Amino acid sequence: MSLAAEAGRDVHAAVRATRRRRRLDTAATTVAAGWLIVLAVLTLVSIATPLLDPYFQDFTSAKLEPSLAHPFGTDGNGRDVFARTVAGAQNSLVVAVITLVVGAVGGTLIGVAAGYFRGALDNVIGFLIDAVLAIPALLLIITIVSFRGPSITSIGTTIGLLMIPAFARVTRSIALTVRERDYVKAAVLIDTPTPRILVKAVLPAVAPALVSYAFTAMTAAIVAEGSLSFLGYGLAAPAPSWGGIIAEGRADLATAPWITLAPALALAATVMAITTIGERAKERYS
Amino acid sequence: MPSTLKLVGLGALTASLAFTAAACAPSDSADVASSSSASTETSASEPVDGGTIVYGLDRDIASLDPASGAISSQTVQSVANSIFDALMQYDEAGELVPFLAESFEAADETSSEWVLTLREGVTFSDGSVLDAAAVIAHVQRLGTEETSASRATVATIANMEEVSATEVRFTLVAPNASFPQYFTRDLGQIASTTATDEFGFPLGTGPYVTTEYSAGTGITMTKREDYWGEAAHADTVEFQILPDADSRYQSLVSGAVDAIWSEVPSQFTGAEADGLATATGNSATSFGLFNSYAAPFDSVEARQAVVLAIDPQALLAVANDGTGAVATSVLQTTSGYDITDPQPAYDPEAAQAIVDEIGGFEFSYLTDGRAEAAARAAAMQQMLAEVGITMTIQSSDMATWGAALYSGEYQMLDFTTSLFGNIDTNLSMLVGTGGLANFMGYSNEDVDAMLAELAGETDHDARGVLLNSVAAQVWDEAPLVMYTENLAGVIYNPETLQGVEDFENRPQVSVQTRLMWHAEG
Amino acid sequence: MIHFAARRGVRALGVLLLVAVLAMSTPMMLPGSPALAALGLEATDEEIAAFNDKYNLGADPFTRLWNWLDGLVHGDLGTSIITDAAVTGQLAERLPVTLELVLVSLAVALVIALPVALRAAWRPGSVLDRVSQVLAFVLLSMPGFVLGMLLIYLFAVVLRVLPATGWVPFSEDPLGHLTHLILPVTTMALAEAAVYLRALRADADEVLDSTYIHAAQARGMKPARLLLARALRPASLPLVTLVGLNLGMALGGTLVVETMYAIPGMGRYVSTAIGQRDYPVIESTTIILAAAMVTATLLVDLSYRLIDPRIAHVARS
Repeated sequence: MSLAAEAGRDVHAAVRATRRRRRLDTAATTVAAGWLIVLAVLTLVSIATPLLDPYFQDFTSAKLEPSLAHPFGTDGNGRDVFARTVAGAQNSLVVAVITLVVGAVGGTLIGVAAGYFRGALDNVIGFLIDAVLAIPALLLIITIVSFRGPSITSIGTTIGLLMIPAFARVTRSIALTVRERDYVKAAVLIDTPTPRILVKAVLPAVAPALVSYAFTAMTAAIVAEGSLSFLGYGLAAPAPSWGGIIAEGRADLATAPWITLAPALALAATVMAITTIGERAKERYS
Repeated sequence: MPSTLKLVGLGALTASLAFTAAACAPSDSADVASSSSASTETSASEPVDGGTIVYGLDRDIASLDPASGAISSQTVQSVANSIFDALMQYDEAGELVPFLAESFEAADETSSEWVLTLREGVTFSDGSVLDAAAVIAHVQRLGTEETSASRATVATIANMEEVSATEVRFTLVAPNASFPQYFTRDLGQIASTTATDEFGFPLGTGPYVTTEYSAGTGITMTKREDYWGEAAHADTVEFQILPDADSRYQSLVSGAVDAIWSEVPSQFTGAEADGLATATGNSATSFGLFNSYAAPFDSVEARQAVVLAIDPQALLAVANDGTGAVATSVLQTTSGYDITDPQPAYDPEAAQAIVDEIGGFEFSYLTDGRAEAAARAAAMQQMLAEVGITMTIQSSDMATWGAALYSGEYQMLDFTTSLFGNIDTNLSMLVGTGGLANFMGYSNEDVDAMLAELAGETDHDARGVLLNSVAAQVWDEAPLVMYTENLAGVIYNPETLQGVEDFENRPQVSVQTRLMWHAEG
Repeated sequence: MIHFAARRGVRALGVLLLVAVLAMSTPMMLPGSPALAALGLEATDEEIAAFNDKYNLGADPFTRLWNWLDGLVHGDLGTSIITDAAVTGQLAERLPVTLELVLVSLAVALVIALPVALRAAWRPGSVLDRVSQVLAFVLLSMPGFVLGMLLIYLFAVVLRVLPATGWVPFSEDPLGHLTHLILPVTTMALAEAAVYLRALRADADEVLDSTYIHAAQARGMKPARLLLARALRPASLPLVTLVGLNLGMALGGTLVVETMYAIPGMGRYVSTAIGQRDYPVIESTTIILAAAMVTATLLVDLSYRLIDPRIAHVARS
């Protein structure tokens, strides 16, 4: 068998594999997007209509099995688990978005500043980032939450603050290379105002990496919020959050597993969906 | 030891630690009673000696010294009773009877002098004899150690006198007809003040001695052959520290442990289906405290509106899975006294009428973050909203909750305690002016006068009348609102463990490992 | 290299110092005075002063850090406010537990991830490749507390083959120790293995595609040897980063697993301390965990240069 023939077969196999992967990717992306759309629609229904009330308790119908009236059953307080899971999505996503805004804006500002201006500023920022990374994250969050009280904003901003280093590192490395590009050097030479250079040249260069990292950060935020709620440091009851509902239902895992399984699956599915779409975004931008 | 007298004392008051009265409205507790018929198991087979009992505890045991407060709570009496014997205990009918004491009797008409007589031939685990001097030294130590949960109690003793080697005379500051009730836990669990074990903890006269100890993991105890009473059945008892309630229960289901402590309603209701048995009492009472010194609850109408708007039956359903009983008075249903003056019953219309008059208001409700408290708060939120009162839930941790309780920085607060079990001695603590557990700062001259009268009253019926009169006065001013009497106790595997006592009629669940045996020896 | 190591070492120390000062400031940031909480509102000034002195509280963060460092030199990390036990002794009990958990999980994760990733990269699109990718993806999407709950439900409640929770010291019962270790280690290792698998697989793919691998292959090098000798080394760079960071973080990040499985490790130790406002414990453990993280980062940096000396040149230019 000649080397050429073998190479040819390998090429064919690779092409087939690539095609198959593309098809799978498309299918996966569609499913992922579909799930997120369903979630969004349900969330809107929950906000806009009284159909899905996550708070209403019927004290006479606690821990009912799934049925037509309660597709995911009811919890210990007689609340509809489906309505709570949907409302939990809303809270988890709001926390994720706050996290993202704090982390991305803070991280980009710091990262771009460090990468573009370099020198002492870069060193100081690098040092501070190292310090933040050195503190045990979960413990820091617990300390802050027990200090400030659990609310969507306090949890979101705290997780967001802890994500600043990651965003800063991503954007810094890009800002560093952009600084060396000829058109940026030229702009500096003709005394273009620095803010203008940052907005016109650096930000667009940073954006794609930011977007792909944002998806990862979002899933991390959802998981972090879930873990916090699970440990009892999350949103105060009776506000529904996925981790909180799972923790509440855990005692009934053997007798009323629906209380726990519905939010657990929703959480895992959402993380999968966001990751899938994030990977497509990454491929597209790189 | 320094520290946390306050928090430890607080511990001694909170649910977990519960003294209690095995209350039980018969209708509500019927199922539980049938599944908790520990006595049936006991009589069914002959005790087997030998083997190891593995018992899951709900918390780290930071110390094995009764003066540390670490083993004074109800949840860990299994540990305390293994090393130490209490002077007094409650028998199956709920009567207070001597255990390590031979007798404990009033020596005068007014119940301000008491004589404790000790058994002969009782020794600490190093062989030294338990005598009157040892008891006096122990009580004195519990009165001085900062961490002791019994400091306030010891302060009610004016003098202790060694009458003979086995007799101690207690002279009290004021009459107290129910003085011996204080000696069922840490204060009565006589610890040596001179000898310690290899871990630095004082020796006891109990059926077991500690052979291995690690605060976060567990404690292993070995049976004493020279125990003064009937020797324990199992050779060793292994206590495992399993703080997570769900994991603890699952350890029992999977067979890794023979018994666990539990206060989780769903575990009691689900135990039978998992082939497990329970031995419980209604030994923790949940109630709400109002801060009468700050708006909106500086208004008695506002407090009364909240009392009337809450349906304890619904709280029992959501927070207790229907186990336990509704609390209708500061007196529990099994206190032995008739409840002639119950708390005003659930009446949303009356609550609505008050709100219409004084206007709707808002307040924040502080819980310690436990699942039952959270479920209760969520239900209350809805009930109060229905009559026009807006309640926000502030869920915190035990430390924050305790700090708020002591500093009075709260509007209304969720509290679960075992204090109501021994209401004879504890009512003055709860509603007397300046009482140790009077966190509401409630003060009423008439109530104080009746409490003083109560302390010296020995006649049962007369005491009942006084207790109800105090209750009636308290309802009028509504510094608190009673919710439920909750189950607490042991869940165990009847195939491996036998000899668990029946706690149903006892005011506290005080687990005795010496009476248990492992079925396989 | 030595110059580089020294520079990074100094920087790491600086970072640690900053974190230590922050840790020593926690009593000022959290509400409530520990002395008042412990002694009660009616405590006298002398009592409060004595209390603050005993537990190294009250002074400014720098003085407190100095006292702490002074204690550290003498092997004394202070006393717990709640239990009155020496923090050093408690750490000596807790730290090994978490270390064991983290290291065993790491080993298991690598044992799973390495061969699977390399094998999968060698035959892209094979059944092993696709199955492992999907599994890794699912595991990555499942938070530790969900995975742990499912494992407990399956192995302890339904199958009843493993203990749901609890911890038995090795010295007491080696076999019991191991059986209690299985579920928590699995919970941690599966998630880690998924991370490593994906990182390795992606890099191995790139490396295997490079010309020098093709050249080696054309020279008739055996696949196994090729994978280990040529592909693993460059592919291990990101792996070292991940493992290093993971190790540093894991010491403080085992809280969820420790809570679920009732393991008396560092995570539960600190979270209990936070709940009880036990400042001497919070401070000492925060500094120690931060030291672990800083050391891990430093080692990652240094090992980069050892694995691939080119980085030094790139960094310099």
